Amino acid sequence: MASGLKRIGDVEINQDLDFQRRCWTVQRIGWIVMAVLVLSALLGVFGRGLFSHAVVRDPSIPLSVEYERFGRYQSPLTLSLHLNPGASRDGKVGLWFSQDFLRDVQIQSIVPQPDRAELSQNGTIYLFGLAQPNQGGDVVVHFEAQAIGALSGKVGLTESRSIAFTQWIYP
Amino acid sequence: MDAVLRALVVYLFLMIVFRIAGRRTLMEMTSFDFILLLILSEATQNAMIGNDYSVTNGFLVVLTLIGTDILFSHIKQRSPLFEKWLDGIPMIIVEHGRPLKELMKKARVDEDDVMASARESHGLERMDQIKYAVLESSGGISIIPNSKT
Repeated sequence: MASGLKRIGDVEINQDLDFQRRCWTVQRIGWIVMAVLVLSALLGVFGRGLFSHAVVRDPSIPLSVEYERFGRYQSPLTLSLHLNPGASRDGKVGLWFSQDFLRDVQIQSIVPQPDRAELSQNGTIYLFGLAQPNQGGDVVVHFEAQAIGALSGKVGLTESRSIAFTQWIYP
Repeated sequence: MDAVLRALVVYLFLMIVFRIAGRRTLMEMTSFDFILLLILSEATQNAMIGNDYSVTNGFLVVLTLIGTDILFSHIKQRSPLFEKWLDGIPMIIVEHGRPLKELMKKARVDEDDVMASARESHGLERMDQIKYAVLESSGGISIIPNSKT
């Protein structure tokens, strides 16, 4: 480490005040970046917060989807589906999830528990019984994302009557 | 593959964050900083190990961390500039009993810190007994006392 040893007074030392001042400037910039990151996280940019919470509706479909725009890898996420009374048929209501969504997540639980799961061409349909015919209700899906990056999915009553949403999953 | 990537990323992230935090953050061992040191390792554990409890994963993480450390020490050997940025360099903060106030303020060191170090290392009593005080790259303050005449 004997590079650049200077003689300052009686002391041989590799001091470099110009470099030091540059270091301090970089440090201050670093502090600002840190503050911005923490603030963004508080606002939900990294998941769960003001910027992250979103609701999607389609006027033609009696369903609204509440989801998080941002999530993190293998970290719990929640999908809330609100079904309006018109969604049921024959005392049952079916929820279709697209295959590309199901493939990239691990579902921890669905509340209420679906009666049956049926395989469909591009996804899975979960069937729920209803307490009273022609009522609405909420279904909550707890899951963990198993892939990083953009996670796109569709939820609906059937494949043709579905709502698309995209989540960004941080590593 | 992700075992190696996780370990590498966590190592680099910690290195950058600690450089940005500055050297006094590392050296000031008040109880607050001691707590920080303890919980930092907990905070990074999940990031490095993830969900994987296998022995192989643990070994890979250790190998990556030590390997990166060795790689960095070789790069520092070859490139003095890299070493400067990574480790920092010493700086004189007291010269012949006179504290250099502007530099001390920027480095977030005050005269109490200098005197504490002077008492601990040489049993000195006053600032004018200090010939040079140097803020080392580790964050510690080394004292060169006036030679006894």
